[in-house]
Amino acid sequence: MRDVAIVSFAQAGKDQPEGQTETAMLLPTITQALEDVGLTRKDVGFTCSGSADYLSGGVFTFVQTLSVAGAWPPISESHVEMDGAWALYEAWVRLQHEDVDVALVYSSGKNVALDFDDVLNIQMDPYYLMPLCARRADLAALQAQAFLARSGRTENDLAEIAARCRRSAMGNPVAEVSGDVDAAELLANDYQAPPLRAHDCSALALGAAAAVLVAGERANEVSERPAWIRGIDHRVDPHYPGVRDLSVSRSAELAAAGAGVADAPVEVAELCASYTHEELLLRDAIGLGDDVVINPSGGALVSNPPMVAGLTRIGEAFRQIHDHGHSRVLGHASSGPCLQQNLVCVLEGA
Amino acid sequence: MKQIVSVEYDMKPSPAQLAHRKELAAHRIVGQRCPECELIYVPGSDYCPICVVEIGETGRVELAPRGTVTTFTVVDPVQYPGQQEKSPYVVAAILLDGAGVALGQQRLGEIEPENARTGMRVEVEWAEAGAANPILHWGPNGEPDVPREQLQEHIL
Repeated sequence: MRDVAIVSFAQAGKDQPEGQTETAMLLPTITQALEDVGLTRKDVGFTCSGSADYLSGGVFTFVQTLSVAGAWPPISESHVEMDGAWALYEAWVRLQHEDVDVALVYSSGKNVALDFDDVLNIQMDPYYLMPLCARRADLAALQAQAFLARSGRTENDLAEIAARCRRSAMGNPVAEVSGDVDAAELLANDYQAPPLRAHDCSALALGAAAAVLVAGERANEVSERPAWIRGIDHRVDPHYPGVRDLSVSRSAELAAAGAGVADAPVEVAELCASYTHEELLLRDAIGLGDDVVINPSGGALVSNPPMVAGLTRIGEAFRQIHDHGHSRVLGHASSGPCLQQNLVCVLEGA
Repeated sequence: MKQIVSVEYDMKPSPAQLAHRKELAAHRIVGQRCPECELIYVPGSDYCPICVVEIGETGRVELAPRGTVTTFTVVDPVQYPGQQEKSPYVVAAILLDGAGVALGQQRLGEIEPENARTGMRVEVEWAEAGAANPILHWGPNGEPDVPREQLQEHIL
């Protein structure tokens, strides 16, 4: 396998004008990601994006966003109707072909102008689940109940996670929620879908993010501390949640094994947990011990831009190597109801 | 089993669209000139997709409401319930004088559909104050047609 590193990551600010387009959020974000490592759009050999047109409500929004990737003269590009983390995976695969060295990955998503529960309902199977119009939190609550019952964890454990994420988020400029709260205070609130309360559910956001991948020695030329992708894998559980044991995540377990998480100790993990119980469930599935620092950014719980939250986890993991000097970290992305799909990416500083 | 699935959107115009509409309501057509390639976009989207640079306030440029039909289509409206259109009409792309790209989806008026031509010179007819679309339609201004060869880079 060819060595590929993430050398740069940038994200759009959270305060955007009303009606802001994904394209307008992406233009400065992509520019920054490239400029940070002295590259331009002309240096990019492959571009891959992740987004969903259901979120913008516009036809072929992902084609519009290509116009800020620098698509003239024509470029080599691809798009996944997935979180940007899967676009990053495709870019990593593409760089294995060895004919191009630099890949641009970006994703964008909006939570305005629509009811996110309505949109996500469309991804369910049309015969048994879609007619139920279950909200995201309803499905997550089923998994939370199954997980708490199996693990013996409590709602207090979940509130502790919410409190920790909010405290961590105080340094995160895109966090929708942050602050010094304690678990007891949070537990006084009403249920949203038992056993989940509002603090257990991620804060939806709009956002855009971009990452630059560079292969081989060139990564060392553009960056003083590239984050090398040492393992990356993604797996999927059955579509119908009713045929899965929701108290575990087999797909996250397989993805972690495929990415070689257990080969050496991990210092920091950025997990794409949209609900507090998902963090605990993922810790078990991925095999992260108590000594691993989880979500120093606050995680997806404090800012969950659809299609962007997963790529952002990998971007935050990159920052742990690049900005904070850690040597082995992981970024995780998830998609689908009840952690149906999971991607694990292990990054190393050397 | 019959099942209806719907998703409702509450669409807000983008900042660039909002600015364009505001000018149109005041009967001004304002384009955006790219600071690098100097191509004028109308309506603008606050950036140049060719150079990929943002176009700020200084790039705003007012265009005369006059241009050339680069392509058109004749719509023959089927009379379904609620249809407002009664007879065939023309929808055209119009390249405003000085603009780099054509303004799409413009209604031609004051002309029978069979007389619409690519290369035809047109001018705006503003709607009455308060109309949803400030542009009523575009009508022939009597100038000689522009040769088709001059339009080949500006069809849409």
